[in-house]
Amino acid sequence: MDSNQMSPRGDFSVKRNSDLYSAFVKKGVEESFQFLFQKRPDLLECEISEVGPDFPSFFGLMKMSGDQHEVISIIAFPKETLVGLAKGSFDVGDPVESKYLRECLGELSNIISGAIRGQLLAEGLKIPLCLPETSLGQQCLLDSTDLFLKLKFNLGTEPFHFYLTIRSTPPAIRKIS
Amino acid sequence: MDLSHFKILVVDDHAITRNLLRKSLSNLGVLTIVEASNGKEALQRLEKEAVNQSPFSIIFSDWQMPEMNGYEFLLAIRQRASYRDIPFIMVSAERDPAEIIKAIRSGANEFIVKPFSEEVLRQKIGYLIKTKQVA
Repeated sequence: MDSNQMSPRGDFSVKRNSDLYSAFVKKGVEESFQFLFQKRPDLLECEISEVGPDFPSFFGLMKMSGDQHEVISIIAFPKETLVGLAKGSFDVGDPVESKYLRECLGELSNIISGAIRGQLLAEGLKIPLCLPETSLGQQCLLDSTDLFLKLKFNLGTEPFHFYLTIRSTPPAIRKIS
Repeated sequence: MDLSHFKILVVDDHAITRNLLRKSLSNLGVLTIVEASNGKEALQRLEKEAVNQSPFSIIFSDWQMPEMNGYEFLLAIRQRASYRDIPFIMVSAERDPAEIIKAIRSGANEFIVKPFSEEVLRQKIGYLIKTKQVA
């Protein structure tokens, strides 16, 4: 299925629309990486996860809450992958300051989520753009029984992941440590 | 297109995007680029340059920013006689046509969606010159 194919009107389930949503997430991730880092990641896997993601500790998160739906997108990196991106972007050496890591996570989340939101708007789902949240070194579990679209990308180092879910009521995020 | 005399204000809360804009504008021949990380800081920059009688040619501003966002910043400068004629280009991840129209109706001269290319910047600046919105 290509990204021009429409989902059933009003049905925003990531399970039923997984082909469509994975196509435009892939496009959004590729274009954002090209823009910010002049690199193009390869999509390795795409799956629907039955449980909320227990994701690595370096992530950017966007919660876009509308009147009837909330869209949550998360981009999560192994530390070394993120450090490599920050070094390349800011031309800095070790140790890389946390502000540079947050910069990469924040703007990546912002631009990718903007691209996803644009597609969802075209599908009839109106949600506002918001400021991204970032976390460095805080292991988190998204307390949710919702289904997540999980995409695994390769950037020549350790893979990174992108998660997307669309739900009608907001889940809570529980800090583990 | 000679942009060497241009003085441009780049407003974005993310240094990574300010760096990209700075690099692209430099590649296009702009020699003077001033940065601010939100609308509030940008207003301070504008006031400082007004005192020095060295106005900006164009403002590039993000929309989603803490402290004062790009839309609030746009409204603020369009209400001030000293800055209201400076061309304003909104640069944002925002893709909602209704929001883009809202920005244009509120005084933005152009709108650029992130991610963008250097060619898009060149075209937008070229259009402002061609339509005599900036010289």
